[in-house]
Amino acid sequence: MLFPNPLPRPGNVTIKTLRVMKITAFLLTVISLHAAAGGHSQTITISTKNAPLEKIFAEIKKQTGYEFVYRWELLQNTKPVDIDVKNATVKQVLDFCLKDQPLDYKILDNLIVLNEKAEPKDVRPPPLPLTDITGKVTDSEGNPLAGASIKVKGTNNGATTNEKGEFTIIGVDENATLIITSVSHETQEIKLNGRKDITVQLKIKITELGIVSVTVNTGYQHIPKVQATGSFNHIDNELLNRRVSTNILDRIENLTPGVLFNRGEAANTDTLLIRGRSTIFANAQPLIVVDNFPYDGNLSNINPNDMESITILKDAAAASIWGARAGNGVIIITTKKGKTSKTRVELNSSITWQQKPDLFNVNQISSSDFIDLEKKLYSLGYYNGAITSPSHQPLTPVVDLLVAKTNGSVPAAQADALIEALKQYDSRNELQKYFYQLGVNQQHAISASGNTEHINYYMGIGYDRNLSTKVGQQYDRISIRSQNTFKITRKLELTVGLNHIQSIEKNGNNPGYNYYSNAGKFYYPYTQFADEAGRPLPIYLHYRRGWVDTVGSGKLLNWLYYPISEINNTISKTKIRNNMINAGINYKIMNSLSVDLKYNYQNQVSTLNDEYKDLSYFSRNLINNFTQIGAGGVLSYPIPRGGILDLFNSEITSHQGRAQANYSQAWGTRHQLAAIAGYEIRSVITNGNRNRLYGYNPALSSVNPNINYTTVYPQYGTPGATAQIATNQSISKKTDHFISYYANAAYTYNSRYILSASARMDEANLFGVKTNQKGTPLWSAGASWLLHKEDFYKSGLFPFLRLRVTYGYNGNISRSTSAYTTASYNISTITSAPTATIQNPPNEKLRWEKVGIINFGIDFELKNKIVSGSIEYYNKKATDLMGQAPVDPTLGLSQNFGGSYFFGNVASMKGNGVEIELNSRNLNRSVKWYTTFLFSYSSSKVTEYLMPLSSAGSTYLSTIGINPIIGKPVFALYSFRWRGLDPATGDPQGYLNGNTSKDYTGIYSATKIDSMIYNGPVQSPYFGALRNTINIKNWSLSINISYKLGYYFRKNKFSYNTIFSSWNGSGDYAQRWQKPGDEKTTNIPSMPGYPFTNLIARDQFFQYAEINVLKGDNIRLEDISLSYDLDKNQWVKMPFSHVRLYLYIANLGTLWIANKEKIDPYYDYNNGPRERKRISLGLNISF
Amino acid sequence: MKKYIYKHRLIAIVLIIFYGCKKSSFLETRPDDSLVVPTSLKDLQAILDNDAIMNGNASGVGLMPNSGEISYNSYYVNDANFGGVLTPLEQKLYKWDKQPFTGEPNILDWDLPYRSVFYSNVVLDGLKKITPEASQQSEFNNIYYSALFYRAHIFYQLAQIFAPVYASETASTDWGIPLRLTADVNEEIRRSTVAETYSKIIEDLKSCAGELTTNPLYKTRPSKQAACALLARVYLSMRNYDSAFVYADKSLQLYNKLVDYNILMVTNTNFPFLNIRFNDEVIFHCLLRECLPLRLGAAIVDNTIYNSYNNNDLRKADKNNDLLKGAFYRFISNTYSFRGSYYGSVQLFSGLATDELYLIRAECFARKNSTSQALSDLNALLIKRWRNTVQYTQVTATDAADALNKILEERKRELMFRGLFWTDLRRLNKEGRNISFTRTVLGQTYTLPPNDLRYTFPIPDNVINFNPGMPQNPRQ
Repeated sequence: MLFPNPLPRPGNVTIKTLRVMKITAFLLTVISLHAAAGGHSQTITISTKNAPLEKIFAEIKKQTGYEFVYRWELLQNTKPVDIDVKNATVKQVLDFCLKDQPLDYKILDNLIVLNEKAEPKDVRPPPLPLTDITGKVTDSEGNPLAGASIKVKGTNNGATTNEKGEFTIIGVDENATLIITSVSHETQEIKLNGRKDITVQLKIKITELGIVSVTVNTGYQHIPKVQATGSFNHIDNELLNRRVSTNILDRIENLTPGVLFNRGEAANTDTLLIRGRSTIFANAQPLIVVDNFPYDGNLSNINPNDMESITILKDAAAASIWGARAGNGVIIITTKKGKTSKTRVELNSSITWQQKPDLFNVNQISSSDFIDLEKKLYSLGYYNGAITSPSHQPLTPVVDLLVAKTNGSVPAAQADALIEALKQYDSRNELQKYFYQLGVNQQHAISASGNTEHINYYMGIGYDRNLSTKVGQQYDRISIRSQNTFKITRKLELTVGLNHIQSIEKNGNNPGYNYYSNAGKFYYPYTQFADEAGRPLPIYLHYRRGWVDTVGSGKLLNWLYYPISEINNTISKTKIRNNMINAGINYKIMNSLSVDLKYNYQNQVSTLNDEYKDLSYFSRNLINNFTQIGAGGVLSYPIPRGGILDLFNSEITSHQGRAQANYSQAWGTRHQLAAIAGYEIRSVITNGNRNRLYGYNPALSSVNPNINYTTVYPQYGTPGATAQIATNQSISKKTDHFISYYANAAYTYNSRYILSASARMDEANLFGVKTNQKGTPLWSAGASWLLHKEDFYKSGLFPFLRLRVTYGYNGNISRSTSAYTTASYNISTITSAPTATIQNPPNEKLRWEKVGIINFGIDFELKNKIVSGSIEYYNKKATDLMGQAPVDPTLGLSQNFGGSYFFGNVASMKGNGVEIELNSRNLNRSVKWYTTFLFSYSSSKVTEYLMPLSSAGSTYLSTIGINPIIGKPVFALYSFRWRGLDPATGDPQGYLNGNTSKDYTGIYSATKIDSMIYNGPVQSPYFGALRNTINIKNWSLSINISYKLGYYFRKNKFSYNTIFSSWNGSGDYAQRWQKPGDEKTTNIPSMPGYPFTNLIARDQFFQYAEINVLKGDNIRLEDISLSYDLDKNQWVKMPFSHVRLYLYIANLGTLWIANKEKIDPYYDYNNGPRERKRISLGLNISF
Repeated sequence: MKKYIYKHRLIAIVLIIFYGCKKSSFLETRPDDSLVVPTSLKDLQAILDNDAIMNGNASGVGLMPNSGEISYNSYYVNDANFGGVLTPLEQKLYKWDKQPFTGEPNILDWDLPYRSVFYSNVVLDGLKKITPEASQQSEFNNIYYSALFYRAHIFYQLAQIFAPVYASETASTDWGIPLRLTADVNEEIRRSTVAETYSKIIEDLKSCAGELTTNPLYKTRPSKQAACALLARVYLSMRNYDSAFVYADKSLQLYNKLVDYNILMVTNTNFPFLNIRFNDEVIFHCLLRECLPLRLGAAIVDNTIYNSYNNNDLRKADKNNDLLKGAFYRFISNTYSFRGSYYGSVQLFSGLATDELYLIRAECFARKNSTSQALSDLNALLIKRWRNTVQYTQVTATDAADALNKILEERKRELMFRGLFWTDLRRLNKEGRNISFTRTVLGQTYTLPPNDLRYTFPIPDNVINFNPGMPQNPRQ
């Protein structure tokens, strides 16, 4: 009888039960042997080789009389036997013959019953000694792999890796085998062989998308992208470092679909938008999170070298974990951590040069045109008002000379010659020379990092120094970051991070081209800024030359304005110091359950000092204006002589805490659940104050505190005008308090069906009402299906195919109103009494804005990854938007200049969009060529808004003001219908009440919105990029081309009034209508007849006519990046492990512009100077 | 197991630390320290002290309705300025259009005064929720009666524009103005009758006259003498001259200072009253809504009025004599523009001042046939306007009627651009003085006959739209 051989292993806890079983088995066997022995007692002698069992059975039957009973097929898998025995018992023979056969036997009387050999099911091998093991799972590049499932083979015991790729399993046989599975990676089995700490590297499943290996950081957890149902975009470190910039956000432009950076005129609406606008009056900026917490400081403080990657959360499922602040999308910036067990030191250094901007992009009236125009206007008497005005209005040099010529103080011929000579000057030459320079930006960073059994550390220092293209502008930044995780026990981890940033931005008084004096004058086209020797010249843009040269007969301060000297006479210095501390504890309670406690402290102090030196025009002008002439001509100075110092201080202090439980468990091979739940508290306090000090003397660090702020003084410069001395003092304090609860779960079945759900409740101190009305619950749900894993899925074309759908709500906060009557305090400037202004009437029904988003996504990959990508479609509905609703003015809620409305949840918007990202491997041999194509479509429109349409269409002409119209985007461009120039006079013509009209005032004020032209959106609805990367050996070249389509902008606004009264303007003047017939070739109106009757209205009508709205569509060569990489294994003698040299060129201009005038919409606003190429050289070394 | 309990306790402790501060107070912290939910007496006083809204001090805005002042003919604009300076609304008012407000989105003459009413009502509603301690009682009372005063003042001003002139025989059937008495935005809005309007104004002012202080901290705050002065003005507009006399007299007994214009520092370019902004004559300060023609100096003072000043009158400017710079007028290229606002700027003072009270009391004396008392009030005022280097010539009158006429003429000279004459016109024509006006714009002549329906302006269209069924004022 076969007997399981008990293995004599000591110390076995279950030995008692085993013993019982063994006795029972023994007794049973003895009984059966007895029975057998009763019938036959003969022995067998047999000798044969290679005999089938049948033959042996026959021999046994012959010699002993035992009958064999078995099913025939049982012998199918048996082997022939060699046997040579003499006088052996039946049992001995059978035992020998069946030893290695899949057969068992029983002897029942004279029958031998053959059966399949039974597995020893009931009897387990004695358990091995159990132990707790920990480990780490990484991808093939050593990056931690979160969400991988680890199972002990043959048991239900197991765990899932956390965001650091780590896991712990309690109670494992030290010889057990672990099965490690991850949705995106090959399954691997590992035998422990007594090890208690293992590291497993998983290989990416060949068939799957590159992106699936990515884990996305939601700020609350890291989830493998392939398991995420929502819409995430990930920008990895390589992509993040593709561009050279001081500011981190600059680096994500044109790299990911759905994120729009507006440029040119559109940048005045929103600089950055994720998936279009879904609010009207509230902030439309995305929430920015660094690691785990919203970043409250100045974003330009973040050193990009310390950052690992960026994740953009776009739909409800992705972002709803951020609740009431996620309505505009969320940008998560993840900092660098230690990766390798050996200390890795990395050095990155780059220098960027930027050429002076191109001032000749400015379409400026030529000096000769302008001087001729001045002569004409002078002869018409246009300047008479200014010449005789008591307020010493300034005149240009030409007009000054013309006056002198008229009154004979300069001989006529000489005056004419001087005037003619001025025609040769072009202000842009000297502006470019004295006000602009080659911009040089330096960036240096060094870091050391590592990841050992006990500590994960990162330490980085960065230094930036930028010299702008404008003379006098400089920016310096130092950042120090340290982030360490101490693995105290296998269950307990402690994280401590410190970050210190200090930056100083210095600006001289250099407005560059765009100077506009407080008398409303620009630099005239022939302005000279310096004499031949380069000495600064004064310019008379504020007061009349003759007056300002002699005023006060030497008693006043010099009242001249020298633009070049002014650059250094006013220094504006912004100093920002930002300190961040974060601390965290992670404690593992069970394999599947851990708890995180996190705390984040941020303190940003910024000091802005505007120092107007005693020599600055600002100080001199203010002092002179307040100077009083007393009895006997004695002067007194209410504003003391000296400099003026404006101080603005602000401080942001935030404390944020979080307690979070993480649960992750797998059952069998099919079920996996990952969930988090947490509580968060957040307090952000912003303090600010400003002050102005007079009589500032930096050498002595002294000021003059004896200022009379109450007396009203007549102004020396402007007869009749009076003013008090400005105190410029204010103080403010703002507090944001939030308490939030959140939970999020994802369930994966059979690693192909994924369901996710998320809910969050936010409460804030926003509305000043009862606590139970402060909160807003927001939720989302999503599903994802990895279609290619199905058995029925046979497509060889798409080895990877995933479908996703999510739905849910994000919120948005508007601080524009409150549920209770609130009032803001101030001080009356007249009586000095404290005054309270009612900000809003009570509105108890106030709610937070809500954005519902449904998102469909498909991710796919062609065979061999030739093409991979994803397509997403979304639909948004924003409700409860804060908006104005008109009310009866009798209620008393009117504004100072009209409009009686209250703010409430009265508006709605909807929007939809498509985002496509395609990656292709065009060549993948020794030469590699990859292409990435991005396309985004995003449109939104107002669907509900209660304010009535203004009866004047002109209300809607502003491209940046918010005047919502139902059915249109928040920022929409409207214009007047254009009827062409009057062939007889060259006057612009429009329509009024359907008829051709030159009643410009009437057109401007009485054209209804439905009679105006809707040109289209100000923000581009179609945009994207095409990026080609070619790798040849160690070289890599990447070229990015971007495009923006389907939007409009208003071209440079030609205006006669601007040219006449501001002394400069559009060069379109040269194209003006001058004689009948010109209307066929130009749209620029004729010079109006003098005296001007309707000058401003005529200009305005023309500026806002449809012909001046141009298509913004453009394709541009964004940048080129070239790099050379050298690895130690390629050059063993190299002292570094890796070296990278890179060249980066940006601002390369447009490839195509849709509008006929070929005006680049990025620079047209004010027709300003065009930025030119930026070239960076860099070096990256790691040890 | 024990271990697990211990761990959970740890979590619990940490959570309690996070909750450290009490949740409700954490969430009730004010989001902006300059923002309050007004509940204290200090807050309510600060609301009333908001002189930009309660007195119209906001630059470029003002408060009291100016439609009447723009329509009154103490000035004219030339054709160029008519098209170039006046807003479309001002043009329509200038020409006495039948429907001046049509097409105007907001009628600030209605909106801004009602905003001030809302402020008063917020204060009055807020006071209901405060039980003052004994030590606060007088402060509490002063805030309460101040709010009543501001509101009554606005009601009176609105009634001069949007309700017909008070006539005892029709007052109970004529439509007055909506009397908003709470801040509740859900309360129904309806027009009261003229009788109701005036009786509410008088009732509130009488209680103010009994309770307010005689010594307000600022002249933007009401006082006992201001309440009496306003009552005098209200009764005058109702042609109840006996009561007008009583309150003018009462007010002057409380406070009767006048400013001697000889002390003014007048140059060609300044505003003479700038340095004495809240001068001794001012009882209660407020400003008229700003209008472009006056702000830009496009309004040329009517020659008849200008010529009616004596050459030794300090209010008059003389282009021929540089020494004689006028307190009220500035000479610019052959025309005269007004600069005599007691606020010392282009913003027009329309508050209560003692000079007006002297004239009211003088008028009431004259109407009571007390000619000498009437003349003595008149002369008491005028001597302060007389150049002190020249002997003052006493005004005399042949009888009470003559005195009355002279006093009414003097009103026109003294109370220029204070927003008072529209009311004068309405009441004087009501008693048969038969004053009519003509204006010529771009060659076309417009006439406003006495007692015309156009003396009452229409209720703004949007108000009617929000309150269908609200009766509109007939204009033709």
